[in-house]
Amino acid sequence: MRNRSAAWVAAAALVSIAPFAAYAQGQPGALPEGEAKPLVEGLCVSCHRTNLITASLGYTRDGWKELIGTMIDRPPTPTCRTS
Amino acid sequence: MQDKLTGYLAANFPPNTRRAPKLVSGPIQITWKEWVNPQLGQRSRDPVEAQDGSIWWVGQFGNLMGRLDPKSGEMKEYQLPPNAMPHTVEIDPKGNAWFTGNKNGSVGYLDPKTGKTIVYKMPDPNAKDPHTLVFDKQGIAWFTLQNSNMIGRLNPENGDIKLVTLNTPGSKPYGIKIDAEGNPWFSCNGRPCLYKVDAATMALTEIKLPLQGTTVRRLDIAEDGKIWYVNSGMGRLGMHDPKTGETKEWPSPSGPRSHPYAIVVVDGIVWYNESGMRPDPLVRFDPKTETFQSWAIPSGNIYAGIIRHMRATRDGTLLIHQSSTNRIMQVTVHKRAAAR
Repeated sequence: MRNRSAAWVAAAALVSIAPFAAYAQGQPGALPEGEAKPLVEGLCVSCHRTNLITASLGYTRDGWKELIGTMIDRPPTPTCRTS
Repeated sequence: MQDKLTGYLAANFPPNTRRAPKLVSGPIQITWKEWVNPQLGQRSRDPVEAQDGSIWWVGQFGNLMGRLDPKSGEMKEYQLPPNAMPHTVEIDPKGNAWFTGNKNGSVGYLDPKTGKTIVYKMPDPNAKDPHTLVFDKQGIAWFTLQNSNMIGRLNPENGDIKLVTLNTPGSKPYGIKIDAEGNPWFSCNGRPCLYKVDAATMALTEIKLPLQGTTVRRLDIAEDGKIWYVNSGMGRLGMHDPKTGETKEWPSPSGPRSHPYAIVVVDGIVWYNESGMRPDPLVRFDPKTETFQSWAIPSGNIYAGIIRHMRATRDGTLLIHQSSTNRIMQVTVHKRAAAR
């Protein structure tokens, strides 16, 4: 099981290394281009499909922040909450 | 980094109404109570009440099972054997918490007194995905295996497991319940059918449902013996009466794409959810008046769905969950004020 406490760190590392072959490739629900697209692919799509994002209810910035907070610890100081 | 990420998501995926439900107002009042489970990203699901009043759940993605004391709010999570990826939890007559190992072909239980886990591997390599499990009054565990197209029977006294494969490929046995005579019924998530199982012989009797395109996630059995089911594929609620052979369906309020999913019957009232909608509505149906009422299920300050299984407590509250946001929830239905 992926340790989601370190997910932000892992995502940052992935993004900085190279444009990686995303898990999302070929999946329904393509992500639009944007500066943070690799971040979404590295952080979100490493655990679930893109269609959970593209087919979602959609949220404000605060709403996305709250939703992400139910999945992983957030920076600036990630702490381990996984068992 | 967080600002960049949430900024991208909010800009490209702002609030929308693409899958907005049709919520139906009505006279019934309910209240929600929620508990946020400790391990993040676990996808909590299938809360169920134990004999001692505790509530158990599984975190399918977190490979764990949890116990909640609803009075104190204290929660404890138990890691399960590798790759179990539990699909559900059910409590046996002794108070053990049983789980289905959906990814490692097992069924097992945790003894809350000792914390020890006992695991039974499936005796057939084709039996890969134990799914939903229920106990009959004799303490026998009955379970479905959706993609293996099987049903199973496990005797906890000796660990003996019997499996039966359905004759029609792709039937996808899904929800399962026990009727008053002790015979299991299960629903098909692959085609239009329900099945009755002879508890003594495991012989299967198919009930064909009327509409092509029907797929049924879950079912429940009312006190009068009627089988209530969700027609997930067509966005309808259905009822089959084994005594008369009658089958009847009603369009769910949010329409053909509403994908009804979980269902439970409490005091003659049918409760289910429309998982294809955002927000995910909790729907109440009164068979006497054939009327609906529905509510959007909150998930903290957002709506993120969905319910995949729901059951009632002994005092008639509903136990639901929102797997996307690690919440298990209790719904209390308030009695209507007496007419003046």
